[in-house]
Amino acid sequence: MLPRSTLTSDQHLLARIYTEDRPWLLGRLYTRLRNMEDAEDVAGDTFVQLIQNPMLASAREPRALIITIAKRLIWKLWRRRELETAWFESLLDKGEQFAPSPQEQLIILQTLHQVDQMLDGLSAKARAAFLYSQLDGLTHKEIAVALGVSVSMVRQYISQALQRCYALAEAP
Amino acid sequence: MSRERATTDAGDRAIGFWLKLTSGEATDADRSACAAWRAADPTHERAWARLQQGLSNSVGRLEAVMKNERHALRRTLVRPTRRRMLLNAAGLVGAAATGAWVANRVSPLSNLVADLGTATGERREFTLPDGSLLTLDARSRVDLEFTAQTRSVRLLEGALVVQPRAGLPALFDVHTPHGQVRSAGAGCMVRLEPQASVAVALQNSIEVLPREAERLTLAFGEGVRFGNAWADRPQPMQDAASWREGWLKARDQPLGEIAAALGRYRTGLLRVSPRASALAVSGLYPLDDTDRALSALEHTLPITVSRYTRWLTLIDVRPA
Repeated sequence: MLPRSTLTSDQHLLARIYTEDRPWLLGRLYTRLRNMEDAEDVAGDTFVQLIQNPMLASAREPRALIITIAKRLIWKLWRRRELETAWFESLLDKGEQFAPSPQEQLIILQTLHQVDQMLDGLSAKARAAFLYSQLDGLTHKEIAVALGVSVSMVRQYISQALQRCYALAEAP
Repeated sequence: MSRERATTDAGDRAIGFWLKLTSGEATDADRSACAAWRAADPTHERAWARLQQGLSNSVGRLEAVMKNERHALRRTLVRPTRRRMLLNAAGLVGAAATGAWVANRVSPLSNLVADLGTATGERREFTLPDGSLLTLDARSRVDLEFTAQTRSVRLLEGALVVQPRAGLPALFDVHTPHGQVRSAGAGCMVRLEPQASVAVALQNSIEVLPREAERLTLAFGEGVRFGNAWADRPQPMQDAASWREGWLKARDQPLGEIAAALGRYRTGLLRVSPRASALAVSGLYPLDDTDRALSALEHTLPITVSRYTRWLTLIDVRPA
């Protein structure tokens, strides 16, 4: 638990950040996003995360924290839209015989995003190896040839992704 | 605690078995070893079920749309657009690629887009996301690049002093257009000049890596001026960071450099004639009172300082 005095100074800090730093952040977000609604959304989420950041209480000027959090959120937003665009394009490519219902589409989009987050930070080759193996059912040897790496490397790649998959799964 | 440990071990074993079974080279012996392991302990079976559930809730749901496909969706999932490109180009690369959700108009990249900046006459200290302390000189701009693996700032204009938080595995990097300055925890000053960068070690040693020249190490108090493919000989330069305390310390420095430093603390233009700018200056001048600093210079050097409104000040050699 934090001592009481820290909590109050925290509240002062938050009030100050809200009045002084929010307009500044919105301005910066707008220059990047060119869309006021998105800027407002990202600014809101940024402050929610900022409040939970343990560095905040001791920060001299929280702007560096704010901008780093906001950048990650912009990246996520952008990545989400990139996946959405690719998904809608693939729907168009498939033609009319493939017409998932809105609910199915929503589940697929959420799953795409979830798998993307699960693989976040892994190299493109590791991501590819995992999908070749677990989605397409290719053997490790086939994957090694396709990616131009050794079989033991393929094993490492898939193992990295499986560990994340395990960590994210709910314990039954 | 022992229980947690057992679960993690079980998870690793489950992953190991699954990896083997899906490798394309599993034997009957592998399959029965896996079955025996699962039956041996309820925690084993739970770990196995957890992995299977994780897989069916993730890739399992994508089978219908992505199995054996190599189209754009698959490529997008495998190869995310580079984060750095996206964020450093101020989102403009992303804007060009997505088009619809951002205007495709390219706005001038100036102060507005840098992550942190200071105005004329303003010095400011920031706490960085890793706990390091960053001080920006007046009229300075930086971009931040903090991820799980990297901690770095990019100096776009002006000067900074950084006191990196020590004891973290990642080194702290300051990038400039001419190269980078790297520290494990020692404080350093970096200034960007029109044609070069200047780095000064304020505590222990730091490393300087010009883009296309040999890296060099600076000892405490040493500084170096470097460009893309060259570096001067390191020399004592501690005074170069005295702006942090609000002072300009000069030792036989050309007046041109002194005027540039004072100019960052003055709203109007400060112009020095070419002849005057070569004069050598030594002394201590207050940055937060540039009028006083200019008067002091006028008293010690053969120069005239002419103030035309507060927006223009000219320095020239005093006529004989």
